[in-house]
Amino acid sequence: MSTHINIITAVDVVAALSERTLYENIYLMDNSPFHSKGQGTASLATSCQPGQVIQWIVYALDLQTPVVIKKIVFLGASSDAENGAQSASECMGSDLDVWNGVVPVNMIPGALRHYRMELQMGVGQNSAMSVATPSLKRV
Amino acid sequence: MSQQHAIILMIDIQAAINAGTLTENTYLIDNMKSHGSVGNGTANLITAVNGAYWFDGSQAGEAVLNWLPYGIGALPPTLPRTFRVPKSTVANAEKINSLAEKLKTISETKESVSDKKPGDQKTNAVANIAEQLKRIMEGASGTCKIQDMRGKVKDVGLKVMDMTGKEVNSDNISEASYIMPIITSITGEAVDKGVMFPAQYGSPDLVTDGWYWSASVDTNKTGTFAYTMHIQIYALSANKTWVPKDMTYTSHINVTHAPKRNGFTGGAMQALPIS
Amino acid sequence: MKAIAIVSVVDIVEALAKETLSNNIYLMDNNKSNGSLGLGTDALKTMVKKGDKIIWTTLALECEAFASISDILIDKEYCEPKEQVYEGTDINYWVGTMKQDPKPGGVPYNLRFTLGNRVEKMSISSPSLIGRHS
Repeated sequence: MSTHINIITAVDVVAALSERTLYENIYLMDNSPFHSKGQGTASLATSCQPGQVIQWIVYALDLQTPVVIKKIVFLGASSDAENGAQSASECMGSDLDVWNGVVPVNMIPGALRHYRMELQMGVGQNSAMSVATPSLKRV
Repeated sequence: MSQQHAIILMIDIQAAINAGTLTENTYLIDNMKSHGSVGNGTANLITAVNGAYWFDGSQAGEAVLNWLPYGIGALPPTLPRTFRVPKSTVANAEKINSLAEKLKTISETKESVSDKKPGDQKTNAVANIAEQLKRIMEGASGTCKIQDMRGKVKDVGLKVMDMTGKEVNSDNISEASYIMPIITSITGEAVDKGVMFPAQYGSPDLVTDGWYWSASVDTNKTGTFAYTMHIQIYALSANKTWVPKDMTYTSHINVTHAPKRNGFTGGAMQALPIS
Repeated sequence: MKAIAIVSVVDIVEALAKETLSNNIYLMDNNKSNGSLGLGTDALKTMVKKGDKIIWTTLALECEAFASISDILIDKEYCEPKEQVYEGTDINYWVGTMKQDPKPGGVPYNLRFTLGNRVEKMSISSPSLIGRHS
């Protein structure tokens, strides 16, 4: 069994900045051995098991625009609580951050645990955008 | 994760040809302005190359540089490669039609003038038309040629066009748009010290005419390094031959690097923060 | 009579992210040897005189992104640029002829762009056309 799952996000940066939304301009895919649902959309539900390492990687579709993951925060059981460490880097987000972690053993099976992924494209007032629809699912 | 750096060179080709140098006639722009590049839009760009390394010191991710030379006074590089070809065919067809019209006029002129004034009018009319025919033929056969570095001249079979895409004749040749400049090689301190490894690559992206220069960077070698681009620009001679002129231009990269760390913890990898 | 090319290179990502073309566009022309100033900035002052033909083209820094000039607003007394398309393509350019020499202080103009998929246009009003005495 593979111990490593990659969640790849492809972003159409110019479209996202033009329309000021990531929804419809972002495509998430993973290589989970457990057949995740929502491949290629912003609502990818990655199937995983405790002990597996999950790594998030982001690419700009035009390949040369700098885009980084600024923050990934798991949304809490209560509707507005956001738990999880803030990115340790400065607020700009940096490609020095490696976004990976081990699926914890206390994850409830079958439930979708949504997370908000914030991306930084360029610098400026419109440059940080997020999607809150992807999730992890313990199988 | 790799970062592609695009470096655009905008060259005022006419001025460079007149002055014999690219200095003061070239402007550089890259896509890393917000990430530390200094001097965008000027002659002196220092491109920021921000690398990263893993805990064992090995390079994390690639930094790749891509150069795109363009000319002010050249047709936009976004035009399809075949732009000069179909238009030439259309222009030729127009010329042939024009020729046919003129021939028709000759025969009509002959008939109307007939025996009234055997000398002047008929001769003038025919001479006038002959003059126009001559101009048409000059235009139709005026495809441009290119001279290579060894002096050999080849016919390219394409028309010389102005900046609006219209054909240019010998009387308005000063309005001709230039061919895009080409980088022929990259050398200098950054290459000698093994900081950058340049090579020419084929590209499916026809904006760069199918070829471009690219280099990967060893981001463990930090510091500011100079590199020299060898650029070929083409001057149009009076007989519609593009003659190459070799010039060089020096720019810089500033390489930095920092350690990678986990985004969730700031340190090493741990369990995901899911409560 | 000269054909003067004004090229604008747009850093689309920066322009869209910062919501302004200011400092995110680089304007250049081929008339520096006759006195154009501000090349490589957003405040290009192109040296022109009566009768010169001016051609505006644009280029995106990210070569696959879309950028085109949607409008040029300039005092009609001096120039009336018209949009044209390169035959057989969907790439446009703007061309206009100087009706008279620019007044002292120059003739400013506003360049409006369509960038990426963005519905609203973005514009820059810092470039201008100048004459001998400016």
